[in-house]
Amino acid sequence: MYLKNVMQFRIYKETVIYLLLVVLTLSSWYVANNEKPVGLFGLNERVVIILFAAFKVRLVLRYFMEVNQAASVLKILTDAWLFLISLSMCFFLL
Amino acid sequence: MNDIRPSKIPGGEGIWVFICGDLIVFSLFFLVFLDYRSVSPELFSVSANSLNLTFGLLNTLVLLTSSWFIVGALDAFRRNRLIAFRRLSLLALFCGVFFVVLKIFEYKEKILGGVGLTTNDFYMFYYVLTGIHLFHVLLGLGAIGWLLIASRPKICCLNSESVESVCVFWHMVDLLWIFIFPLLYLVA
Repeated sequence: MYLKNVMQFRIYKETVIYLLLVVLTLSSWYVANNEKPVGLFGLNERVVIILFAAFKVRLVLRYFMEVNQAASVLKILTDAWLFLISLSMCFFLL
Repeated sequence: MNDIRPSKIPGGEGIWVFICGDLIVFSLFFLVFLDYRSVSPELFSVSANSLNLTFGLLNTLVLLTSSWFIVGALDAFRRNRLIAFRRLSLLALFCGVFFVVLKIFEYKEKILGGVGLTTNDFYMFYYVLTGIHLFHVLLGLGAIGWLLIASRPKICCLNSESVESVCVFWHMVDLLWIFIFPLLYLVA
């Protein structure tokens, strides 16, 4: 009853993104907790976890913070920051 | 009448200058943390294993849910649905308060276990990073509370830019935690 108004609004896409973020969070948790190291494309599990986090951050920026519909300068700035910080973190973990 | 379309810069330039500054500061914290970790990986690994992963996972899910409620609240605001806007903002606020309560329990568990800021380098980063993030959560909760108070008589009392600013700030709090959670709880 309290939530009945939620789905009346145009946030279907954002709801799918939210569910994807939850799945990615649980996947990171699974990768970190698995007894056997879970790599991906030959990368170690620490790098995989950081790449999952970077992808989640991009989803939040683009869809929740509406950078997707914002001016190009904001898209370039946020993507550049995310690329640099993810690359730097992966460098320390490789 | 509110503008139904998102702004060219959501919330305006001012909030993004603040957000960019915050992201740069936190990025430096993350890199310094990883640099310290590369010096003593054993110590960081043992210390990170002593953290309660359930708290970290719950905190992440609670903040993601809160962000989703705020997305709905902004959409409701743009459609002039005052009740839905207030209800969804309140749900986001509850999630934020739940995050703070979880953090208090986590800190209590650690402090009662004799683990403090000066125990070792890992815990110094743990308390500083999560503490500064918690401060941002409290700021965000104050801003959402202000939205609830300002929207009480009529939704027209709020302008689109201020609502967008609060929403963007709240998402940034979520975004920072998305990096803090794997760094402290999973990767270290």
